[in-house]
Amino acid sequence: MENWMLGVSQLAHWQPILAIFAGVTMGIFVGAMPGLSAPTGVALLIPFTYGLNPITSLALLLSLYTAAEYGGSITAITIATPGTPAAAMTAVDGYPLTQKGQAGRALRISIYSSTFGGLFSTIILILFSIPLARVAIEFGPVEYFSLGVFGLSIIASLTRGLWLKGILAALVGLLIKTIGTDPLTGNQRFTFGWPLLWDGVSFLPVMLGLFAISEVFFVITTETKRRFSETSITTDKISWAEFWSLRKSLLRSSIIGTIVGIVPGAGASIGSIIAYNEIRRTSKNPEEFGKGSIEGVMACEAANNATVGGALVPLLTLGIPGSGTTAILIGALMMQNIFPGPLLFSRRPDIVYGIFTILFVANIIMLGAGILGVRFWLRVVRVSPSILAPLIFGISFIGAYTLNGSIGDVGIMLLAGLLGFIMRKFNYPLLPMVIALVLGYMVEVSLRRALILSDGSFLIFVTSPLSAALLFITVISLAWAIYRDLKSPQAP
Amino acid sequence: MRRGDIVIGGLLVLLSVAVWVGAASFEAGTAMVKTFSPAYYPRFVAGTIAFCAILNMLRSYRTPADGIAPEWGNWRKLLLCTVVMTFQLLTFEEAGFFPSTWVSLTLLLWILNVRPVRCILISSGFVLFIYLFFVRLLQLQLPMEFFPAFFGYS
Repeated sequence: MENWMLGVSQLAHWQPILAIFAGVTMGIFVGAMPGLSAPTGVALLIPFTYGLNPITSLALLLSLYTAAEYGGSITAITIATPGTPAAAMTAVDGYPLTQKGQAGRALRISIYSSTFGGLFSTIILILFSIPLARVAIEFGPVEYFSLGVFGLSIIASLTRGLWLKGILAALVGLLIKTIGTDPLTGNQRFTFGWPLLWDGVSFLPVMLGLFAISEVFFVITTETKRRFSETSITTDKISWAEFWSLRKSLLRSSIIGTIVGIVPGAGASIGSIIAYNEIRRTSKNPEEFGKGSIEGVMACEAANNATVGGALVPLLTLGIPGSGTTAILIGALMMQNIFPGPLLFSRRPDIVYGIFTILFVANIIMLGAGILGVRFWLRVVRVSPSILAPLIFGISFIGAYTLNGSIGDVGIMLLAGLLGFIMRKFNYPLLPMVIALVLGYMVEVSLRRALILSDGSFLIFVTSPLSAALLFITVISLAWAIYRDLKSPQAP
Repeated sequence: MRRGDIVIGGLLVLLSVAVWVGAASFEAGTAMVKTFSPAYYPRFVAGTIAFCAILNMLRSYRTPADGIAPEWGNWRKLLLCTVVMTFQLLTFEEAGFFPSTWVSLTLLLWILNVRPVRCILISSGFVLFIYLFFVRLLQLQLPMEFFPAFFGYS
């Protein structure tokens, strides 16, 4: 109780509160802008925190981190342009909801779920930091590989009637991820001597191309005057009864997001993929997923905000970053002479409990800001496609360029846009490719590292209990999805 | 759609062959005797692509022709817009952010039948927004010099 009073008292000044408001506002914008995301936003703000006291500095950075994970869903829902990699899954159901004139409902469920996920993982962080940290260190290459394969297996369940095309799309995604420098040997693979490919193909330009640019191409070729009928545009709110009916899925998504967040290197993107698959698998209406399911949006958003608290578990308890953003946060903490690790709880309880309090307050303020912002974002939805499409292209162009300051990334984005356009024309689903791009690197590197450890033996994947469990669930899940698909009518 | 599936399948098989052949040049170090060399994983993926592509082609061949072909819509406008996008790609660093983005955006809006005055206003507003938000507020680097090679910027 003493420590809690210490933590809450840290925020009893105007500077940390102002910092939280500023962090949330900036975070929402940073998350919404393609090309910017939580790691970029935090990295950009760190120099400005040098002159601030530790708690104000942490208030600014953690609020931005929390809000940016939510912000990515706004553009994913309204204009099919995910602002962050984790929001790619949100676009799958969020944008179809906008096309049905239900952008308001999608945006509201997004903010409610994000807030719930964020608060849930904060509570878990407070109550179970130490024991959960032990789970984090159990993950080695073997377990990472199995986690990656489990993530890939959802492709079969997501592509009903098109599982073969879905698998092909995923395989092409895995192949794209092999471009660049081999992470284990340093060999150049499929770079054709071009320096811009030495670091491989970045996920963000491809994601922008597949989602945003392909949509721009569709608008150009179909000459849509309105994206949907004016009369069908609504500002539907989510009733409490409807929200309450989703409570089990909301809780499950938040648990999944928190656990995935705890695993170092498995960030919000993986959390939202796994949560989406699980909720779809257990949903009473799985056929609605991919066509505008509120539950689909909820699963992704609850999970990706829940990874925030989860990622702080290994950071605070072990000094190991749980995500890219927390890796940057370590730098910010060290600048303030704070060293995360096992001794942090005993030496600086003011900082630890201050962080807990900041996360609570930031999530509440984010809820308020998100609800107020819905009306503004609904105006964006009403803009004519002829105007919106070039603006989406412009924003995506800038976003892809600012990632690495390289025009090559923009070229990759345009090529991916063309690829996405052709894939959609021939009925090849985009989602499996996106999932493969997220997981491909982890799957290959973990596989090869695990085989180095086992001296080439594949048995290592079944002798590890965690790995064996993940692979067993994967096989069952795949077999069921393919069996169900073969039983249903042939897809085009 | 059947013909399209067969063509796409054929292209994927060709891609797999190209990857298989290309991977032959990846050298395996002495430490890779019992584990995957750099070529193994891409070849495994390529082989699986070829297998699934052939399967898909067979499946399409056995499905009755449905007479449905992809609707390409106004492909001429698409081509024109792609040219403008490529123009912005090629001139962004050479001409600078302001002229490249403004010209490209104005052209794209005009191609999509937005009135000329609106094109100019929207493009100007967009460029200003990007400058204020990305460059001034977030201090991100965009090529701000105007035709740097021509005016001799270092």
